[in-house]
Order: sequence, then structure tokens, then C-alpha cells
Amino acid sequence: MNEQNEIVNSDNNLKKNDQANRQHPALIIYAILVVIFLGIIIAPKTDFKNTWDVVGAEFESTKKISDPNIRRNEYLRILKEMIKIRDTYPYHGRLYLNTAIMFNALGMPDSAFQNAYLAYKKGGGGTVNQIDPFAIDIMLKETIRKAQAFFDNKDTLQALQTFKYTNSLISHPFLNKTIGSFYANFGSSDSALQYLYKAYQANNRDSEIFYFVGLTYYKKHNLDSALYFLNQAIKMNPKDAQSANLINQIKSQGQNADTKNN
Amino acid sequence: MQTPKIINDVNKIEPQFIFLIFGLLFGLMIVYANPPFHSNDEDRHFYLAYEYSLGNFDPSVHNGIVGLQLPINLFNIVHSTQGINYNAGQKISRKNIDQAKMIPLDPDKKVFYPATTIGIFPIAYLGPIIGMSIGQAIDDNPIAILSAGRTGGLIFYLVVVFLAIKIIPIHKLTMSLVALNPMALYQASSITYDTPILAMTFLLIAYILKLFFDNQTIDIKEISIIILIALWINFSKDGYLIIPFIALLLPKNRFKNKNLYFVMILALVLTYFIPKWTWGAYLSGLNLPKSKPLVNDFVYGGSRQISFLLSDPISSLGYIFMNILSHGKEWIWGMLGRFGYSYTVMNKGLLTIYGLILLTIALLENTEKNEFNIKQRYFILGIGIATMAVIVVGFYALASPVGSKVIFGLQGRYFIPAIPFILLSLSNNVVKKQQFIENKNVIVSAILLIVLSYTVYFINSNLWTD
Repeated sequence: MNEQNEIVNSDNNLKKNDQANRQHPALIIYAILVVIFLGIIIAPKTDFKNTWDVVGAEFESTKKISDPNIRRNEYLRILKEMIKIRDTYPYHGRLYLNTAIMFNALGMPDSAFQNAYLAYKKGGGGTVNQIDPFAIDIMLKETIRKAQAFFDNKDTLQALQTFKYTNSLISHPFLNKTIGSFYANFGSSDSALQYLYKAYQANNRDSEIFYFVGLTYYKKHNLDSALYFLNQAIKMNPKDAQSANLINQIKSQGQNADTKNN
Repeated sequence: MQTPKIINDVNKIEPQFIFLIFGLLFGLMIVYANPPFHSNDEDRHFYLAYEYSLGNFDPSVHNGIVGLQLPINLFNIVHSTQGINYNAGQKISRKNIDQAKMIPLDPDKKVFYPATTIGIFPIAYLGPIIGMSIGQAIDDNPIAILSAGRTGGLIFYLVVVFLAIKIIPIHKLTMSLVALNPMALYQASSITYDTPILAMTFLLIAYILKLFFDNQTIDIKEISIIILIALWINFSKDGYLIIPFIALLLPKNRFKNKNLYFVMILALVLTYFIPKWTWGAYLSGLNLPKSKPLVNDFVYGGSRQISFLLSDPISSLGYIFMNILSHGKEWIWGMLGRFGYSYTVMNKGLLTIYGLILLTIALLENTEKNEFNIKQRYFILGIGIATMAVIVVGFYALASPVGSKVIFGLQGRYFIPAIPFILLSLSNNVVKKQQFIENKNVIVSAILLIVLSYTVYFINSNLWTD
């Protein structure tokens, strides 16, 4: 009888141990880890994206639409959403840039310019930012468009102010050259030289800059310096007709002066 | 039926030697099979390790930008190997690399390279630095220097992990499988600061478990060793601050006196700050210009993003969950086998099986008399989960655009140092599969042979073209 009890007890102990083993935390953790591991692997693909990525993708595909009317309508639709996102997250240069591109495409120069400038400012500010060249491009396009309108209305001073305003924001070689050329033709020689020097610092192989410097000295009656810079311009670009013409003009003036003196 | 002699012989080999044999054999194969400068950011790590190998510890400044003065040939060769679009079917040309191997270093002709990695402490590259120093004396071609650096890094890894597996009282084969998982060995066979993190994590775990199960009294000497390893981890890379706290597994009553326990906790906390107070202070003392971000079209991380996450913590947790659901798969592949600057995933079926094998071997590798109680088990698991959580939250808070739901820049390989903790939580002495216990060395060796052979074959055939 005792022996039988012992066997039963021992069997019960084994069963208890077996049950305890099955509830061992290692086994529970193992089961959970396997479920998580396989669950993540077989989980279906989700469409979990940032709203700016979703709208950004729509914007990118709209850029490729060839029909201008459809593209315009799509831009108008996306622009509303983009502005909402831009205002929710007002720190991201990319959102301002996308907005600027759409304003530019829709022919709204002031908004395009303002958003492009904010994209530039909130980004790398011309140092390392991938979006800077695009932002600057829109600012220049809108500046030229606006200045052209002033020129067309014979308001050259406002056109100059338009260039100067943009240049005060981004100091761009194209603007420095344009403003310098304006002063070289119509205004103060000192201002001309100041802007042209900045343009020269960005590109010292541009024959046009040398022409305008030559023109400035010519207007200052410093003919030796004028000839020097005009000759430099010809060296860089032998087909530079305006420099060649001015050289001829200076030389003929010199000959006339000699004749008078004689 | 009698067991073949070879199986008996393999079963007699100590696990650390199995690790060493496979690690050395396949690690060296990967050193040469992996195209030059093709591990994650290997180009940048190589530049810095190269400068350190010459004893140049101070970065250069050129036009207000911080960087390194590198030999032109070295820079050009490295540059020519970058930007290969594996996703679009491009591969690296073996012919081009063979030609590059003929170009001498010409160390006196230099070019300035604007570096973004100058803050890394030299100890993170100890193996590659030694390898490069020796290698340059033999052959100073940039690709030969890279191979020497990679080999140095590999040997460092193998030595440290060999020691760890030797001293760890449990899970020797599980640790071998983690340390030789294709991604871990790929990292170890390249120039990166991830290698010392992983190696030192293994060593720290092994040493703590040795102290824990040996019932040894813990004195200044033991604490010093723990702190030294913790320092090595924190000096190598930010973000693994939780790992050293595995030392809290050691019961208070095992310390020679109670004060020592608190001294250790304080020292562990300090190990996180010491790199900033020493190497960081040294670099600050050089008054270097502030480095500029690479891309700035979005504002990334910082206080604004932290405020965004804290403004609605429930939604933030929901976003993290959604990220795990959406990107978790990619993180798993990144943990196990993702090559060619991380663009090329190895066979996903094999990686899934390898993941399951890791979990299963951890469960089957019986720990005999060594067993954790429930609190200790969850503590170890908690260290692993917390390490992963710090990485996820860290990338979300510091490296993602403000307001982003999607976590940016996070790669699966960052989780590898957390795997040993997760697997240790499976240790037990109740699962006894006799066939596994008798043949475990053979089983693990066979797994390693198959998986690592395929890894080398995969890298060799998928990343190269003639």
C-alpha cells in the first residue's frame, strides 16, 4: 500500500513539475518573442506616411501634368492643403519651397517670392541646403518678372529698387552685376564699382563685368583704366562687340583730342 | 548506431573555439568579399581611423569648415566607390577596383575633406588603427590600407568576444550565434564604431554573469573592470547608456561592503558623462567652427520635436507603434543581414529562419544549475527592451523632422547590442532536449556553416560585376 502511495505521489510530483516547467517564464517569453518576430515580418504593408510626404508626392506628380489647365486646377487644390500643412509645421523650409513653386506656377509673384525667401531663410541660408538653389531661382525669376513690369512702364528707378531689395536679402552675383550695370549706365560710378566688384568676386571670368567696369571708368574720364578693363574683357571674350566698340570710341576720342591739341 | 567520430570531435570543442574558427574564416572572407568602403558610412569611418593611425588627432579647419587633410589619391579612390545604386541594379566593377589597387597613396599630395565624424574618440577604432598602422608598412595603397584596417577590426572583435564566450557561464553557443549573425560579422569585418560596442557589450554581459553565478565577492578590482568596459562602450558611441546598468543584476549583498555597490552605481552614471568631459572638452578646447548640417530643408529633432512628442504622448506612442508595424520588418533585416551600404537585403527567408533559430537555441541551451529568478530575468529583458526603446525614442526625438510621424534615420543594426539581453531572458534549466544537448556543437556549427557560406556567396555575387 505504502509503495503504491509512493508511486502515486512521485507521479503527482512529476506532473506538478511538468506543469511548472510549462509555465516557466522563459517559455512564455519565448512564445511572445516568436509571435512578435513573425508578426512584424508578416504584417501587411501600411500606408503610414507624413501628411507633407503625401501632399508632396501629389505635388510632384502634378508637376508632370502636361495640360496647363488641369495642372493649374490641381495646383490650386494642392496649394490649399500645402498651406495648411506649412502653417501647422512652420519650421520646414521644404514646405515653404513647395508652396512657392506652386504660387510661381500660378502666376502669383509676391506670394511666390515671399515663400521662396522663407524657404531660403528657414533652410540652410545658402550654405548647405539642398533647397536653396530652388528658392533662389524662384526669387530671381519673380524679381526679374516684377522689374520687367516696371521697365515696361518706364519706371527704371522702381525696377532698380526691385533688384536692390532682392539683393539685400540674398546678395546674388546676378543681381550685383545687374545693379552694377545699371549704375554704370545711368548712375553713380562708386556704386557701380561697388556692385561690380561683388559680382567679380563670384565670377572673375565674366567678360561683361569687365566691360561694365571699363564703362564706369570711361564715364569717370579715367580712360587708361577703362582701356585696361575693356582689353581684359576682349581677352576673355574676343567676340565681345560692346567692349570693342567702346575701345574704338575711346581711341577715336583720344585721336580727336590729339588733333585739337596739335 | 555509433555516432561518427567527427561529430564526437566537434561536440568536444569548447564553444569559444567554434566562435573563433567560424569568425576568423568567414570574417576574413567578408573583409575581401565586401566591396571597399561599402559598409555603413565606412568611407567616413575610414578617413578618421586613417588619420588616427598616423597620430593625427586634431581635425583641420579650412575656410571655416572642420575636416581632415587627406591624401588626394586616398580620397579619390574612396569617392569612386561611393553612390552605387544597388536598388537600380548597379554593381561595383571588379576591374575598377583592381585598377585602384595599383594606385599608390602618394601621402604628400593632400586635399581637404569636410568631415562630419570628427567627434569620435580614437578608442572606437582601436582594431582598425592597429591594423592600418601595420598594413601601411607593408602596402600603402588605399584599398590595401582598408583591408588591413578591416582585418584589425575583425581581430579585435574576435579576441574580445572569444574572451567573453570563454568566461560566460551560460548561453555560450547562443552568444556565438549572435556574435556571428551575418550583420554582426559584416560590421565586425569593416571599419565602424559599432564593432567595439557589440564586442564590449558581450564582454560586459559575460563578466557580470561570471560574477553573478560564481558567487564571487565583488571588490574594487571587479568594479574597476566593469567601469572600464562601460567606459569603452560610452566612449565608442552615444546611445547605449542603458547597457552598463546590467551590472545592477549583481546583488547588493555580494559586494564587499554596501558602499561599494553605491560607488559602482555612481561610477556607472559617470561613465556616460566622462566622454563629454574629457574628449568632448578637448575638442571644444580646439575652438573648432560649428559643423553645419548636411541637409536643412526640414528642421530635425531638438526641443521642438520633444515638445511635439510630449504635447500628445498617447498619439506619440501610437506613432511609435505604427513605425514598428511599418518599418519593423526593415529593422529586422537590418539587424540580421543588410549589405551594400545597407541597400541590399540578404535572402529574407534565411534571415527569418536565423532569427527563429536564435530564439530557439537560446531556449534549448540548458543552463543547468545556473538559473535566474523571475525578477532577475525581467530585469535582463528590461535592459534589452530599454536599450531598443532609447534608440527608437532617440531617433524620433533627435533625428526626425519636427512634427513627423515617421521616425527618420533608424537602422536595424543599431539594435544588435540589445539582442544578447533579449535572448538571455530565455535562459532556463527546464527545457531538456537530449538530442540537442548531445549534439549542440554540431547543430550550431552546421547552422553557422550554411548561413555564413551563403552570406559570403551573397555579398560576392550581388555587389560585384566584372
